[in-house]
Amino acid sequence: MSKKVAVYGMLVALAFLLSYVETLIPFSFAIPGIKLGLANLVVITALYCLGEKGAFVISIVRIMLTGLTFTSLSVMLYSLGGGLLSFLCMVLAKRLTPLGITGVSVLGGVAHNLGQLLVAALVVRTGSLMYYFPALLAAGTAAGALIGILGGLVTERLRPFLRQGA
Amino acid sequence: MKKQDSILILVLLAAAAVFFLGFRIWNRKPPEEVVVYVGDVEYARFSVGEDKELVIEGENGTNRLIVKDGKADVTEASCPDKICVRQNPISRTGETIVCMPNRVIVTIEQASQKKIRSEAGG
Repeated sequence: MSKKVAVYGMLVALAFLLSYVETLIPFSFAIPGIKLGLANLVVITALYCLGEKGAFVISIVRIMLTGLTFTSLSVMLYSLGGGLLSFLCMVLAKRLTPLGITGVSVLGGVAHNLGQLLVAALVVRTGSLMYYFPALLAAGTAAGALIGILGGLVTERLRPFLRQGA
Repeated sequence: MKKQDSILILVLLAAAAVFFLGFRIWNRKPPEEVVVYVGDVEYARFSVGEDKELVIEGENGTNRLIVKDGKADVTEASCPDKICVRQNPISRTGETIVCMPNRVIVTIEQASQKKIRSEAGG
């Protein structure tokens, strides 16, 4: 039990830290909503090492913490929309499709951007935001692929240790 | 990386390219009007040809909009994230600058059908 607490605590801290690191990168993209999603590296690693429940807990706690610390409540709402949809898609992709960790991460990245866009379109009640859709689709794919490849490397090395702990 | 993963990535990138080109062709008509919305209410509407500076009173703060040489740009904002300020100036039909905290949307549209009809009729 204490080992489990330690592992979860460490992963939440790591995801939290990566969210912070990401705010430091001076990405000045012309399109809102484009980001690397470094924290998703921890979520996808947890999904493959600890299972769905563990990854879900880490994902939600991370979004709450980041929302309360670095951003505002409204931004947290978009993050939740994106985060939940992304997580659902990754779980379904992992269960139902023959995709590997990279493919699962790509779907997660795309779903994240789509979820945020939908929440944003709901808030301002306009379809004109769909203008961003192609760019966000491409960006989500690229970021998801990168995180997926990294996640594959990390999972390979961490799995034996995390399995022991949890 | 699995083969299926590569296929998925290629399909998604191709879809993005198709949507991008599709939007371009769909909005090929010349831009006519800069329209500002706050929430879902129209706040201002004027010709793109008009050089103009406008301070938009959004729901939680203000955004400064400058229209010059057929390009609309948000240059200042009261919100903390400044995403709208970082966005590039817009000049094509359908392009949009959005400030989520203030719920301000600046977009470029064709002159509304209703207006064209009334002008033709009058």
